[in-house]
Amino acid sequence: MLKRRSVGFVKWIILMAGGFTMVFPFYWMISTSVKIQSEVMTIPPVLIPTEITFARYGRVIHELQFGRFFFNSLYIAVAVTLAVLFTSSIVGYVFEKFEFRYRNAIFIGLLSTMMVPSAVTMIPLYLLLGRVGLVNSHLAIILPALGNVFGIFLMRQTMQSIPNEFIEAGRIDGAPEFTIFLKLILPQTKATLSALAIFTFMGQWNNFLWPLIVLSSQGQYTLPLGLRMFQGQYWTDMGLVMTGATISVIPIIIVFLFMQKTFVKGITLTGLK
Amino acid sequence: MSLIERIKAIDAKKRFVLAVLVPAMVFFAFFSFIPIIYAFFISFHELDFLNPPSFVGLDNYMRLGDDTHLFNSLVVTVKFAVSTVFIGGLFAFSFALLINSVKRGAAALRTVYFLPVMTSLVAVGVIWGWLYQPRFGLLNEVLKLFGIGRQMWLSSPATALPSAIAASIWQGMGFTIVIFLAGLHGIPQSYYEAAEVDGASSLQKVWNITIPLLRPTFVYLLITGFIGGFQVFDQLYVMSGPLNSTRGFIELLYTRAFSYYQMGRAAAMAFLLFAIIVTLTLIQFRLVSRGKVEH
Repeated sequence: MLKRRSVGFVKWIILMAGGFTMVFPFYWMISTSVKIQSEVMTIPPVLIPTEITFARYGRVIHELQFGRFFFNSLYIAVAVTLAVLFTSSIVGYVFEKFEFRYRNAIFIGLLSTMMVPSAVTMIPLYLLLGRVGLVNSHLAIILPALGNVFGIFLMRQTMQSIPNEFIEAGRIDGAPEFTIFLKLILPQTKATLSALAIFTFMGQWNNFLWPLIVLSSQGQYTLPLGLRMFQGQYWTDMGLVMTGATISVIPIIIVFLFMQKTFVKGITLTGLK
Repeated sequence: MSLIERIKAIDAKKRFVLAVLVPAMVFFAFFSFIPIIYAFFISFHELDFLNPPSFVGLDNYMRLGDDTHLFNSLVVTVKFAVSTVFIGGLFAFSFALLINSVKRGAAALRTVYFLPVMTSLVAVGVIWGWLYQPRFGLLNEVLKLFGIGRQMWLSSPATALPSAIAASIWQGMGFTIVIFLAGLHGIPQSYYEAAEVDGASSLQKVWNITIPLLRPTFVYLLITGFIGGFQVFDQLYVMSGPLNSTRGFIELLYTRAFSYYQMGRAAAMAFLLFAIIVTLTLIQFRLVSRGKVEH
């Protein structure tokens, strides 16, 4: 009995130590951002700020354009997410519930592009978008992201469990095909849609390499690009850099805390089948 | 018949299918199929922005063989992929077992371990860059408590890559834990109870029940981990060490294509990566189908 209790104790010690390691870097980020300047870069470091200041936030958001980067990131991620939800579900629906020639061949053709790493299409896409004058615009990020093969695959899987009778009933009532899809089918896929929404949004919000390639003027930057630039420019003033980091990290964590269940369900739904 | 009349003559179902599929196919043609073919074309040419492409045959591919920069970047990438998959996987598996075994607070623990997963890799690089900072960084201060001298972390070619890997493991562990937990929930409790009747120890239960039954989870994590690991860019780029000590495959490709404008060579590199990924995917299919025959 005593042995069992001590095993349980050790278990909790390990779990707590792990949890502490997970949380502490965030604490350090936030606390660095609100410390007064004389406590930011010191030996030994100041663990708990004696005084708290939010002065850096105003400067970083307005003067150093982080408000703008935040807005850019937000509207690109929202636009892409809405588009991907729509295109994935309607294309997945057509593949699952309609018979047409070469259906499987086309679908397999689409799926096989999932194996192609983005590094392959990076160079040609850059050249093609450059030719139509879209490089250094947000359209260069949004346009290629509008369709998503993984999303189509996922939505098609989900549609499998919806009985065809629903569609037939709609047709008998004389509803147009698009209305059937929108009013009868789509509401039944809410669980998958919300998982897909979170993944698409996160993917865009954190996207770094492609925006780094196509965006060159600072006003167009998204948060990861702004943060990276910041780190290079202000490495002597960690208070500022950590303020930028906090602005790009904390909102998404708050959203996560609210939507956790959907998120975890989404991972098990999409990751493991 | 005019085009409009023809379209009207098609029944509603077909019209709907066409209205969805045609734009979808045009989209994927433009943003996927044509770029892939174009990339293949580029890989046989010398291409920069100034001059028209000149055909060089297999040159770009031949040069992959004796390219020391490429070799170094592959070494960095393989080290990264192997350590994140195996060391990160081992940590995640151990923590998943621990979280799975506690009766209260499992959900809260999962949340805490998941926080870094929500954080962009650029932010992770920036935050850890601050913790690793040799002079004012917190980590050296912690080491000092244990009597260990100052480390250079990301500022030394010897320790830069391991430091960046450690930060990556920190970031990705929560994701792997959630996947392991899902797998663990799928194992019927009765198996463990039966083993307990036979007097099996905890370790024996893990070894003889948990690990064999989680085989599909292990295969999935192994392969997706390698595929993702081979394409690592963000965190290595942000936490870059001196002397290319953290320059991975994608960073070299990016530099060649967009800083040196060696588009042809970069395209050939991209197809090498493609070949690696296809190989890994095929291995996954083999492993999965073999697992199915056994059960």
